[in-house]
Amino acid sequence: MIAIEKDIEKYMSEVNSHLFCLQKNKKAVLEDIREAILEFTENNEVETIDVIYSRFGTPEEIAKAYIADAEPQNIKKAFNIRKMLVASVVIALAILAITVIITIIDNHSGKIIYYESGVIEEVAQMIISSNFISSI
Amino acid sequence: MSQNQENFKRGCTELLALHLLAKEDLYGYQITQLFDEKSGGRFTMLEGTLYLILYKLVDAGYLSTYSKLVGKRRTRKYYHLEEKGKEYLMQMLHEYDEISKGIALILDREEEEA
Repeated sequence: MIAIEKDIEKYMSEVNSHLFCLQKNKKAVLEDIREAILEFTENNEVETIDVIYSRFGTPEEIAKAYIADAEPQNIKKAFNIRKMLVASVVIALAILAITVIITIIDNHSGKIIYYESGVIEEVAQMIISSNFISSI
Repeated sequence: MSQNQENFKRGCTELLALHLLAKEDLYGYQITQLFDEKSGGRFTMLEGTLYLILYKLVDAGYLSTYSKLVGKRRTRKYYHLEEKGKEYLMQMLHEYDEISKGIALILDREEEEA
């Protein structure tokens, strides 16, 4: 992939992360921008990403334009969805961590019991053998 | 560009885009080019931000889109003004005329008609 293509992919990724809106809106707008950029690069010499910035706008400019025009309830909805997703991930990680800790503790407890029972058996053997010897 | 200019421009973009599309179907780059040419360079717009406005108009049913093959494999999205969009455009033009008149009167640039 040539350098400018990498820069364009990075640009699209930045627009995607900056654009704070409902997923269906974002997908449609990003597709339009991507197609327009592809056509532009096919018909024009684009040596640096600055050419894309000046023609299409920086990711921040695009995000700012969206927020300025968007309906407040759509922004609120997008924000709530994002909050829910973050909360879900945190809860899932917490459950995973607790499960791992319990598993480690269980495994470790099993080894201690096994070790203790092994020592008890050895000591018992020693007692038996010493009694046997003394009886002889 | 100042924030005031940006805000003012944003308010006009829908009206101007719909007006251009009333004459013929256009794609994104053509719309930004026409803005620039017809305004003598006074009204310019970043193509990336235009798509946000166009999407809103499509979502509202004022515009529809279709794709045309360009070259061997690339497709280009054209925007078409729907009947609902024509009505919306007439309404916006009326509002624009009223507001412009009101602003001109406040700025003492126009005498009120008797």
